[in-house]
Amino acid sequence: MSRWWAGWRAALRIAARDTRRARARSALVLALLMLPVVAVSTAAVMWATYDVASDEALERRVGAGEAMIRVDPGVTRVIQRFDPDDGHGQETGRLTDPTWPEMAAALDGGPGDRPVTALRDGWISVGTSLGSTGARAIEADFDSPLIEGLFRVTEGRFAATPDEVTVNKALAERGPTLGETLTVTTVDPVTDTESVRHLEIVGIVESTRLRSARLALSRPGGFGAFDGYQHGWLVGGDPVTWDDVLRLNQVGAAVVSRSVLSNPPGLEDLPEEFAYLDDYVDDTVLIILALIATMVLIEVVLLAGPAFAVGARRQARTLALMSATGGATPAQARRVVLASAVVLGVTAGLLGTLLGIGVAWLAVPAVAQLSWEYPGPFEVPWPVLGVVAGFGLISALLAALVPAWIASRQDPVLVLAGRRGQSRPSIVMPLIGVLVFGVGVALAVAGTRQYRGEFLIAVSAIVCVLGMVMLVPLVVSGVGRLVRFGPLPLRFAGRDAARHRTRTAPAVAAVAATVAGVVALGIAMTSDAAENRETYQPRLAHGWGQVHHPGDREAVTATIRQVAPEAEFIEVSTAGAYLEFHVVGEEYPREWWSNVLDGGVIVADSVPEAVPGFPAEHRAEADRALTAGGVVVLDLTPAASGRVAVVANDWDHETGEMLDPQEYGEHPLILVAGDGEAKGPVIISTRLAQDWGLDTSSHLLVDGLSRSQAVDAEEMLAVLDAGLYVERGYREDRSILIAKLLLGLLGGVLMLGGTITATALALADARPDLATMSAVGAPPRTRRRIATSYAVVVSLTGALLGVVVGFVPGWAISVPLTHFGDSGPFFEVPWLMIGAVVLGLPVLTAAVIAATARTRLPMVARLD
Amino acid sequence: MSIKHGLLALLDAGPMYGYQLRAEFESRTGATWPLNVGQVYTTLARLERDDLIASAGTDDEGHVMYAVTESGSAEVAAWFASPVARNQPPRDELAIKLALAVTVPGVDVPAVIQAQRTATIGALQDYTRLKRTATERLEDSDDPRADLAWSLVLDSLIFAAEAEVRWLDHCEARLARVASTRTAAAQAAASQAAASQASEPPAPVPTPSRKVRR
Amino acid sequence: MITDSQPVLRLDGVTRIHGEGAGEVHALRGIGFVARPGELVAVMGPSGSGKSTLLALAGGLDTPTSGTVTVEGVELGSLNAKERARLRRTSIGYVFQDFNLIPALTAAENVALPVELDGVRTATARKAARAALAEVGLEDLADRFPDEMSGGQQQRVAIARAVVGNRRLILADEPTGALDSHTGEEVLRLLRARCDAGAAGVLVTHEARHAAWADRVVFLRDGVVIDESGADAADDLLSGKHVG
Repeated sequence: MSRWWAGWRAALRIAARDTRRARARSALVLALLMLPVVAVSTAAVMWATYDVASDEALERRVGAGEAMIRVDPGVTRVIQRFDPDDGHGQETGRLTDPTWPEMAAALDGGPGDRPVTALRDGWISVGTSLGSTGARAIEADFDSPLIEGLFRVTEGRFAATPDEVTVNKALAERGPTLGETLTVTTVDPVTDTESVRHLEIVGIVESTRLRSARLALSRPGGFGAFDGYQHGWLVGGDPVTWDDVLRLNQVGAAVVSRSVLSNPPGLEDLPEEFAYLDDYVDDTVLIILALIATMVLIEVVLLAGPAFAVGARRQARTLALMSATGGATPAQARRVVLASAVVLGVTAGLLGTLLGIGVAWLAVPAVAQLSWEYPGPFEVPWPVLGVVAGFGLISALLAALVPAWIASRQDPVLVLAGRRGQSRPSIVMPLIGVLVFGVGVALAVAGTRQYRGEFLIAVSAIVCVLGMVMLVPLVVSGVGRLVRFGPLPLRFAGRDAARHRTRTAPAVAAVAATVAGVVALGIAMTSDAAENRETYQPRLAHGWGQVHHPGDREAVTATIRQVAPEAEFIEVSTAGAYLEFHVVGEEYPREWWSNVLDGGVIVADSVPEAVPGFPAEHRAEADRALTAGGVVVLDLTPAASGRVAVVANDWDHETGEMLDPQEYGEHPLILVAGDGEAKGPVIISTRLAQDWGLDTSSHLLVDGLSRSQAVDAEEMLAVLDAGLYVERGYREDRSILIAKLLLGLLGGVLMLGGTITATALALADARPDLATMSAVGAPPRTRRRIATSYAVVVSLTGALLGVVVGFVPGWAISVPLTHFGDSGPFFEVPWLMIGAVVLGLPVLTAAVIAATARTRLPMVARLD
Repeated sequence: MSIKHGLLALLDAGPMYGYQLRAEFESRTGATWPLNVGQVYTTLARLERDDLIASAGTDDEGHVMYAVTESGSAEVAAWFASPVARNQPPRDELAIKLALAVTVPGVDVPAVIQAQRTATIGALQDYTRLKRTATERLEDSDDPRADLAWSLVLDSLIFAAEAEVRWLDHCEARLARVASTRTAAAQAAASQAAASQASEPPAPVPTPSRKVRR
Repeated sequence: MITDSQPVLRLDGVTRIHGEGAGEVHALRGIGFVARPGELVAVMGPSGSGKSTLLALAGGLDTPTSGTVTVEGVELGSLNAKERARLRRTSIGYVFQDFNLIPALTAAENVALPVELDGVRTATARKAARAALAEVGLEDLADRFPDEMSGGQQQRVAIARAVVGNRRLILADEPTGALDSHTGEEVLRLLRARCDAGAAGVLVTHEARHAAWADRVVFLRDGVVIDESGADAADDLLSGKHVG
């Protein structure tokens, strides 16, 4: 044991000295190893900081009390996780308001003597400069000691009477501010009367959890009988246990309990619905993380490999001497190379984690400005960081593995004789590589046929990449043979690269892996966009717009007219019932849900112009049919007969029970073949709707807005809490273009990194040859030409390989991605992006290297 | 140097007369060691006395022919089979000269060495030039074996001269080493004897950086 | 074979000092040296005498601390790096002591290197290379890599590279080290033939037998020329050549 350690000690000493001597190379490897460590450490620290662990921020949720008990309107029963914000389910059906005695009975078995503060939490309408808008309103007794910590006043004070109100910054920015009057409009749900109140704003508050929603706080009664509010009770006294929580759940309350969150009971106490979900979610997240980690590991190993290869070769002479004279065993030779990996890996792990913590410390305030949540206190998750640091060490060891193995197999005689480079490549590894690649392809194909095959496909991607990595040495040798037809710099670079495969292959593999990833993701994105494009169903006729949540129609139309005076408005009604349409003579009901007007059945006496895809020549016929009491619908599939039976399948909104199906009889059916493949919507006349007793709702549509007018209108309507959607046809998601660009950029950076590494190392290795060329009279620009040739060889070979490999997972993932029901799968290849990556990036890389390569050739200096 | 065996070997190939023998000998050895006829006849007489050759009549022009006897043939075979003995090295004038130069005071030994080296190399250059023409002759000659023989003899001269140069380099190096130790010792002795005013002149130190002599 | 035309190579009062201060090494001390067209000059001397430095300076691979080096009438010190490189690849052929072949190139490509670096088309350069390889008797090995050759073959490839095309100045540093005496002789014959054809050759060697192929043998020791042996010493006197 001690001898083993002594051997390692010597190896570590040699490695430390070698690291200090080869500063540039060591710095390069260190940087490569550190990048992912820093990135993940930063992310981990920020996540830990932002993960306002329940027990840290309890004051923000329960103030100074023991628990916050909330009942949503109409809820009879709740199931929840320990923290209801992480997930909870509700059953509705309550008809009366919950009361404190009810809660107290469930909690303590009777009235008890807990201190309790009641809250009401709901929505009101407030006036702003542009019109009415919504805001969250909380009524509570702000003098209560239990509330301390829930809200923080930044200016002024809490409302003391129901005439006063405290608002948060978000509300003050859009409307009246401190000292002014807030106009509150509420509608009593029972009497349906509107009441308007004017409250004086006496303070600005910061909700300690959410920043962007508008908030108004007042005393009980300040907002009147406002709509659909949540009842809440902040309780003190004895700790509220999980059993207490469960009992409260049974009366419809979701509970945030200080004691439960501080010391959660075991997972087996969770309601079973959550336990299952937990596993699945965890599995998914874990698998994704594992895949990402694997890809990053592969990239780092491949990028750092060449540096270790060169280091091992520089030490080769020492190792050969050790072996020839000192009888050092192959294991010891291996150890020396691995020792340098240990030295660099440990350093990278430690430095990287420390740097990550530092970056996170700087970034937290910046991110806090942008995000909508407050971060918690700065927290460093040491165990996670330990794992991340370990990752640095592992990647270093893996990168040094092959060079170490080769070092141990060297023939000392050859090394001491000064023969540089390697001889023939073995045939075993490429064969295995082909097999592995084949397995990867098989997995990909299997993944396309399986439900939830995405994981399989992702795994297949990694397997394909691994297979490709094993093939690279053979490819590099092949390239070395191909270049005999090229100019001198290319010939030299290509053959030299092939002779030093240990150094070249990992770099080429890194480039190939990068390109494969870029290509695969590019194909996936483009195919996805193709699917979106092909299956796009317009919601309205082109140019028509729909206003969402119009609320105050006058205000809305006035606002829109401000920016677009010629806008035309119409109201279209739809029926909200769930109707089934059985064409007489057909076995199954037709599915006529469409995107138009939220899928409802349109109730109109003539086909509205806003219906997309309705051919003009059939309009008159359709109108006539409507008047005659028929059912008009757009569909390409011909009907078996001209009559349709309509059935309503509805349920009681109060009790949630299914009602008996209601039959509405047979009616004439007019099927119109629309433009495009859209099915639906169904249009019936107002009289038919009346006959059937359907409830209708009205939608405000607007026509005639130009693009810029629509943008302006949208902005202004936001203040009124209304939205505007104008149908302009399929719009390619801007984010896809950005995503492609980012992908290309990332790929370019990685390719550049890998190529620069390989070229720099190659040039350093080729110093003697460059000196010879200089002695024989090479013009000064030769070095630059050779550097460029190296760059081209590495990047072009890698790019071409990567494209071929990337197509496999790219195609495979497009299948489940774009397959939905009957449509798809769609497979589209972003040729432009691939061309840019395969040809453009190598050219760019070569240009960068050509521009930055030194031109001075090394001279042969002799001392006789 | 005895030419006895050389002549015997020639006669072993076939009977010849005196002048013929001399011509043959010289042609095969490139006239490097010219013989005078008297030397030839004296040797022939001795060979006959030792019963290694016998007269074989006369030819058309009246020259007395000699032919080898059986014991003569055996002698020739034995001569070819046995290596040339080195127990009595021929007197080497250069070695004698250098030995005396080193021991006789007042002689600039390195100059002697250098002068000799230059001369020997000059001779080497001459031999090499000869050899070049020899090789050309060898390619289109009518008696290739004779020309080859002469070429070999020439090579022996070349190698011998080279050996001499190597030996001269070696002497120079050894003398330089000895001189440096002697200088050190002399300096030590001089500093010791400074007080006692010893007038022994220090040993001549060979000066390494001599100007070019022209 | 020695003409009185302008010398191809001329060193005037050349000194080369390596290092500084206590570690100074005077490789050459103010020496003069001449090589004329058609002349093969051998340089002999013990190790440390400055032979290789002389050759390096002559080939433009090194610059003198003082003094001038002139090749074909052009003073090397007045050239910039580009011009010196051009001189090296067109006019000067250099045989290195350790061959300095490029392992990534075949024998033919190695020999063609100076020609190709000069911009000559690959096909033409390759033809010249094969001719040079034929001169050293290695035509069959044209497409082999240096790894696949013996030391002697590599040395001959290096020599071929130094004589490819028609170089006016051939500098050879111990070109016969790894060769048997017959092959070494062949090499010297080749150099001799080139010089007879008009080139100037400088041959550094420690083997007197090979130095004897030269028209003049110069002896160096401690960076100074101490003697010279040549067949036409009188010519030198008449031409007024001054050395030292």
